[in-house]
Order: sequence, then structure tokens, then C-alpha cells
Amino acid sequence: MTRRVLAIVLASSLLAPAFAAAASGRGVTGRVFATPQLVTITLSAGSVQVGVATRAEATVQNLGASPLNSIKVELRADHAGLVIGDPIRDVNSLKGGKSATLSWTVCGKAAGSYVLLARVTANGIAVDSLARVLVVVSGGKKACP
Amino acid sequence: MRCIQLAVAVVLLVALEAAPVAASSGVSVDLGRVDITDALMPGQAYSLPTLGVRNPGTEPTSYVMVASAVQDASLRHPDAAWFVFEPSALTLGPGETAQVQMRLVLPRDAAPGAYQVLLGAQISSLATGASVGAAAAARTTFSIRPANAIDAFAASIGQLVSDLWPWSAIVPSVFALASAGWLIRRRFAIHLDVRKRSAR
Repeated sequence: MTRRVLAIVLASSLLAPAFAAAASGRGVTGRVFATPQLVTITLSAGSVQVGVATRAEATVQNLGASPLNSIKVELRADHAGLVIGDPIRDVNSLKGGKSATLSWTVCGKAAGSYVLLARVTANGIAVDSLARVLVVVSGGKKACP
Repeated sequence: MRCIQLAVAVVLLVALEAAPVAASSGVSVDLGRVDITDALMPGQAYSLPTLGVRNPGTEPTSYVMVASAVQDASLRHPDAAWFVFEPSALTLGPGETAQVQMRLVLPRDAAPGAYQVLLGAQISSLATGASVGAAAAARTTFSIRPANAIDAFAASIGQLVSDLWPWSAIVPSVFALASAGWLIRRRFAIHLDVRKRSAR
């Protein structure tokens, strides 16, 4: 009887960490995402004067076969130095193999070099475009709207 | 029967003791990568996209903004001092998000080439006083163009040497030796003679 009790205690001591890990949810889990969306950004000018608006375009492509729904496209930049009209845009749906182009008006409040990129989010997965540099030079007499 | 009850009690005791406290702090950022396609100029400052830092945990947490190196031998690691964060440290409550401005200030003597760095937020301390090092970051790549024609020439030579190694060392060495031999033969007369020693 004593041996049986000792065996049970020993076995339970060995299994306890596994029970504890299972109870606390520890462990390694992984998910692999395949992203069908691709986004590219183009600037109509690489250099503008302060207060002069320029255009930035983002082209979103659905490389997959299934449609993408509720797509959010955001033009990311330093908002302290640039004024971007309505930086987050929605695209209701994009069929497989199709693309959509969105454009923003960008205006520099202060001289400097600004890095811009577009971020597209669909089905909870975000993809960033390559980033471009917009140089804002002083000399403009206008003010950004 | 009493022995079985004892064994069950021991199992429960060990299991409870081994169970860790559930984590209630963390960090996330809202940018995955910043790959700048335009070559950057030494001596210039660049405003990077604003980085959103979020506390997804359940307790107030302090963060410090960091620029850390990526273990990739093919790309250079920029100096952490090149990056300016505003604010450089912040404390967020559970579920709160803050926007951090990031600037890349390149020194005039920045070496031309391709660079890679991780820009993000690292947990500096919890409200409980504990300190952990979890971090979330955006991978950032950029390239620096040479500041002038001499730098451009030096950079292209350096790149050529690196790309064609070891032939980039062997071929010039052979050429240099051949040239030296040709010059020596042209200016000096080298006479090698083998004579038998006369018997004394």
C-alpha cells in the first residue's frame, strides 16, 4: 500500500508542471498569415514649398482570388509637420485580382524631409507600402488649409 | 482510501504551486515596417511616420523608446543616437495608445550604404515595480547616399571590392607585382650568374 501511494505521489509530481502549463495556457503557438493585399505609394512631386499642396496616391491590389471587404487605407506620416486631408480611407470591397487607387492632398506646414507610407488593413492583417520621402522647402507664402 | 485522498491533495498542491501568475502587461506598435526607397543624404534630418504605442495589458506600464540593432550581417547598423523620439519615454494605462514622433538625424560623416534598425517601445517598468524587457518594434531600412563625388567613388570602390572578393584582391596584387617586375627590368639590369667555385 505504501509503495502504491509513493508511486502515485511520484507520478503526480512529474505530471504537475504539465497540468500547470495546460491550466495557465502556456506553450508556443504560431499562426502563418498569407496576405493577399499589396499597396504601393506614389508622390506627384518629390519636393514642394511650404504651404503648397501635392498629391500622394496609394494603389491597393488584391492578389488573391477571393474578394477583400472592409479595407482601410491610411497614409502615414509625421502629422506634426504635414497636413493630410482625411488620412484614413475606406474601401468597401475589392474583388480578386482587382486594384483600387486612392489619393490624398498633402501640404507641408514646416520645411523638412518627411517619410510617408501607406498602410492597408483587411481581415485584421495590415500591410505597409514602401516609404517615400517628400521634401518641403521654405519659401512658400501660402498656409496649409 | 486516506492514502488516495492524500495523493490527490499533493497533486493539487504541486499543480497550484507551479502555475505562473497570468501576464497582464505588454506593448504593441501600429507599424510593421518602414522601408524607405529614396536614398537619404548625410547631414539631413528626416521625419518618420508617427508610431502608435499601445498598452494591451491590464495594468499601467512605462515604456522607453529604443532603436535597436538587427542581427543581419548584410546591412549596417545605424547609431542609436541618430534617432530622436518625442516623447522618449511614456507611461500608458491599460488599453491606452500614444503617438510618438520619430526623427532620423543623419550626421555629416554618416557612411554610405544600406542600414537596418528596429524602432519601437520597450517595457521599462510595471506599476508593481517589476522590470521586464518585452518590446515591439517596426523594422526600418534605409540607404545613405555618398555626400560628394569623392565619397561616391570611394563607396563604389568599396562595394566593388566587397562584391568581387577575393578576386578583387588577387587581380590587383598580380597586376601590381607584374608592373613592379616590368619597371625593375626596364631600369635595372639584373644579372644572375652561376659559377663553379675554383678549387684552392
